[in-house]
Amino acid sequence: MRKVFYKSGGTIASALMLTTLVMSISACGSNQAANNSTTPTNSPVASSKSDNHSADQAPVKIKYLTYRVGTHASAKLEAEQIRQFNEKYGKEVEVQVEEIPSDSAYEDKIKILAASGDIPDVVMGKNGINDILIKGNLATPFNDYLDKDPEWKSEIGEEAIAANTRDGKVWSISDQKQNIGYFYNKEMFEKAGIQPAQTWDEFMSNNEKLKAAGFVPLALMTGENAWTTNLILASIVGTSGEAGNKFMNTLHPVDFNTPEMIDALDKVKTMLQQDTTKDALGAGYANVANNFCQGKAAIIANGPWMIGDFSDTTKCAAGFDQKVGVSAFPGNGMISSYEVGYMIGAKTPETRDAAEKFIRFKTGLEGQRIALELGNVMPVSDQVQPSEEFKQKYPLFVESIEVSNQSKIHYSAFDSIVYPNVTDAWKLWYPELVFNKSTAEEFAKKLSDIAAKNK
Amino acid sequence: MVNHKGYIVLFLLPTIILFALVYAVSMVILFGTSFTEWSTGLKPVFVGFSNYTRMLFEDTSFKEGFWNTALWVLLQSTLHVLIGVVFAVILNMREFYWKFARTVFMFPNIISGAAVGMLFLCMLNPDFGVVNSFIRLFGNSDYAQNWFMDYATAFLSVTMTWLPYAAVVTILILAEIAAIPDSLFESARIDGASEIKINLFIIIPMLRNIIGTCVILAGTSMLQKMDIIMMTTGGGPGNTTMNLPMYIYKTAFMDNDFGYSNSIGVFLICFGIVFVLLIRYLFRIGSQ
Amino acid sequence: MKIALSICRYLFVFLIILLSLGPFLWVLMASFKTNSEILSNSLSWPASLRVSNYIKAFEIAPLSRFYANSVIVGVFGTFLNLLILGMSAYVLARFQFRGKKLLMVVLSLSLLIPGTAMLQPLYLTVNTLGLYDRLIGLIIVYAGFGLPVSLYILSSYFLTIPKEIEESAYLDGAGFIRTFFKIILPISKPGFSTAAVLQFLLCWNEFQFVMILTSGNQNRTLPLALYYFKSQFASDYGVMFAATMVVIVPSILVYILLQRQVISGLAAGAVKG
Repeated sequence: MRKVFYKSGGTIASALMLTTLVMSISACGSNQAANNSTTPTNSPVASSKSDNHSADQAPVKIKYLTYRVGTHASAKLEAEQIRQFNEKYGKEVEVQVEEIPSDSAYEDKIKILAASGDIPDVVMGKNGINDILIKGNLATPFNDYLDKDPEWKSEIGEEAIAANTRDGKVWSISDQKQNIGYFYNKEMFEKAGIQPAQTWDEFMSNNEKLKAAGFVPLALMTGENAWTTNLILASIVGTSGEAGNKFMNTLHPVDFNTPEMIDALDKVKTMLQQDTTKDALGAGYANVANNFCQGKAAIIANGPWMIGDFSDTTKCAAGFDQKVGVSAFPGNGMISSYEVGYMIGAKTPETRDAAEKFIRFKTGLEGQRIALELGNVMPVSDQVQPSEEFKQKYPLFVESIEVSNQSKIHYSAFDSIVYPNVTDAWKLWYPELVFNKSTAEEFAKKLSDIAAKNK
Repeated sequence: MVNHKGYIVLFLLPTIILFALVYAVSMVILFGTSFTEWSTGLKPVFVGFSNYTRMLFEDTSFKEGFWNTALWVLLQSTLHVLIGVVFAVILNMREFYWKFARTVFMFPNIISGAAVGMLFLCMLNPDFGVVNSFIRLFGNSDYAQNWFMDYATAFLSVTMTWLPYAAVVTILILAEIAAIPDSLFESARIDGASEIKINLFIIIPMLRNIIGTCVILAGTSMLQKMDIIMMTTGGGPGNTTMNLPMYIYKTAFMDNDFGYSNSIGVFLICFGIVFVLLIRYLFRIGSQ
Repeated sequence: MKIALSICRYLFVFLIILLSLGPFLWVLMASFKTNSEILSNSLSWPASLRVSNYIKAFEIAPLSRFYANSVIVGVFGTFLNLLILGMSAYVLARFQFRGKKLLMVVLSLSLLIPGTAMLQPLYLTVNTLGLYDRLIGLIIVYAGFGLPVSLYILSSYFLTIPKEIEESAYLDGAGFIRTFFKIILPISKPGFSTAAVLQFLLCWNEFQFVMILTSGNQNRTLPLALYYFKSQFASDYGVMFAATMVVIVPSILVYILLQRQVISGLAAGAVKG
């Protein structure tokens, strides 16, 4: 019997050693987490204990989740905004940045946190998150802050503020304006002998001429959120008249069974069946962007952030940026809307103020300037203009600003107005339309049913 | 014999604790909130059985998801296990290639989900994908079958993406083939039995337990797997490649309906229990 | 007839090797390509060996830190899982006792609970226990995730060991614990190695729960890194595949190492006769 205890003693001893090892590693891991947050501030958390010269309080810590990391188009501007904020306000506010690489993973995590009552102090309200926070009364409106800071109010502009106001409360501050038309390959257009269409009928006949010249007209996709396809769909509806325009400017539609929608769906169906690349069904953004950049398609509907790609030789052939033109949609329409932007999820007065400070910096003129220069993002305010350098580097951007200034009809993209589960549904049901298993009416009904799930 | 009761408890305790820690809370919340209406960001509200009635009687997507799931459970637990068993038996013959083959065949399972999804998308791309390029070699230069998005081929394509799972079956079986006494082989060979007879009538029956286990693991993996679907078809076209785990995810994160999502989860667990019990009975797992 | 069978056999094996090696080679080639090359032609050779993809991978994502974390989580997650489940699988395979069937069914439930449904409850549990954003939290959770698979594999394996082994050990005067650790374990290497492979792969490749249960880059693991290269409007697949290769290599090494254990068990014919 003693033998057993001796041997099992060895086992127990090694188990104990192992446990200690594990504990120390985890302690090590969490200590590191406490001592360096990912932002390079030089004010350590424990400074509240030491006596400082001035009556410096310890900086207020706020949590911020961001998906703008890695290869994300806005990753550079995000990093720069945070860096500059820390330089200026690092002593008062310590931003604990958590990186979530992937838009959908970001949305998932915010929803889990919301369901657990733990949302971060600063939240990006994209893709329906703002609705969740508003419904659950988990966010703090900006009205008081804006009233106390008229300068900030003017830096954002009435329109942008109104776009995010519900029932008189300003729930989020926009950080981006979307001004979307379409890019086209000037060379291909010349060879086909066409100009950007003024009417949708001309648009369709242009496609025929492009095909006759041996080109694939449109870079369309139905995968992910069917982005480029739906920009066109939105434009057909938005330029079809007063009713259509109103539809594309109203939040959360539940009835898609309108004549404008049906007509637009039929047109898009034709485009998907005849005027696009063979991999359009199920294609993601990377595929369509590549198709356009590699000269496999003549037209792609997309926003100004793509302009940087045209000069990128890993994505496009050298000199491709010279071949690209930008145009408004037929009927001189452009998608013009304000992104949802940032919301305050903080729960205590100090963290709310700190969160507001952070958001103020990001959405004020300085923040907008950084976003423009580093992310090709359309600023919300007209006061922010691109620098001369920028204009030299991206003449197409200047052109796109001109085009949008001259555009007459404005409406939102579908992603900005529909419920998130509808955004998720396009990729599943477009094939039904394209393979003629559903008519446009049935497709519209399907969308309405899905929208109705949101009570 | 010595009374081992104390040791039995001791040896079982860590597992029970781990189980309680990781799963118990989830099960309680899952079951409890399945009777509530719980929208993301709001508090759950008790609604009785209405989630279940909706699920069983009104929800067509649920029905389609269920049939797809059931079919995949069937396919995975038969076809993929069969392939895995055959391969294991072949490898056991230890012909010249066996060391290389047994190292290599597990590779697809080692590559992580994000890359695999992208891989399949590129392979099966209608335009430039390998599969279509290969088929075009045989004449039809216009061939542009959309494997993932065409109603006719979507289900098949997704089923194919799970083929690598057969490798897991193989390594499980290989591990146990060692348990078969050599003496059995000797006497069979001396009696003049052919390789096939030896394989079919000696090896495979002795692997009854592990094959049954593989059937359970393969089948139930279909009650969890959704990452490849998510990355390739997203459940489409329509609902053709939607399975219940995917539907649970969508209901929770797209429809923002945690309550309903959890009731589907409860259903899935019940379905799984039936399956597990059935297979345990059929294969008489647990007896020697 | 025999020749026909042999041909079938060789064809079958060849096909499987092709289908297994294919994806791996494709990822390897893709890791040296640019985005446009990958999306334009799936079978071409890379235009040039873009080692810059690999450099960029380490620049864009915190790969080295994630690497260290993955190793820790992988090793300890596997070890913890095998230890705990080894003990209970042995008991469940060997002994009859009251409530055994019920216990098996309850433990089997862990195989069936949908991952999505566990996201929020586990977040609550881990947070409440103070394990949020700690490697040890991930280790425990992963050990739990591998519970059903390891349980099934190990108990099935233990069933193949003849009872005579223990009986002779007891006759020699060995106690329960000693028998288990000194006698049963060494001959169960194939079973444990196989369970270890699957468990290690689980820890190494798991993405969803890392994201939910950690918040700082200090404690995150490799799968998260891959998503740094995929975003809605700007993905760099070349770099992503380079990172994938970096992630795959250790898991292949671990697999080969563990399979050696199984092979040695096979060759020795383990326990028999």
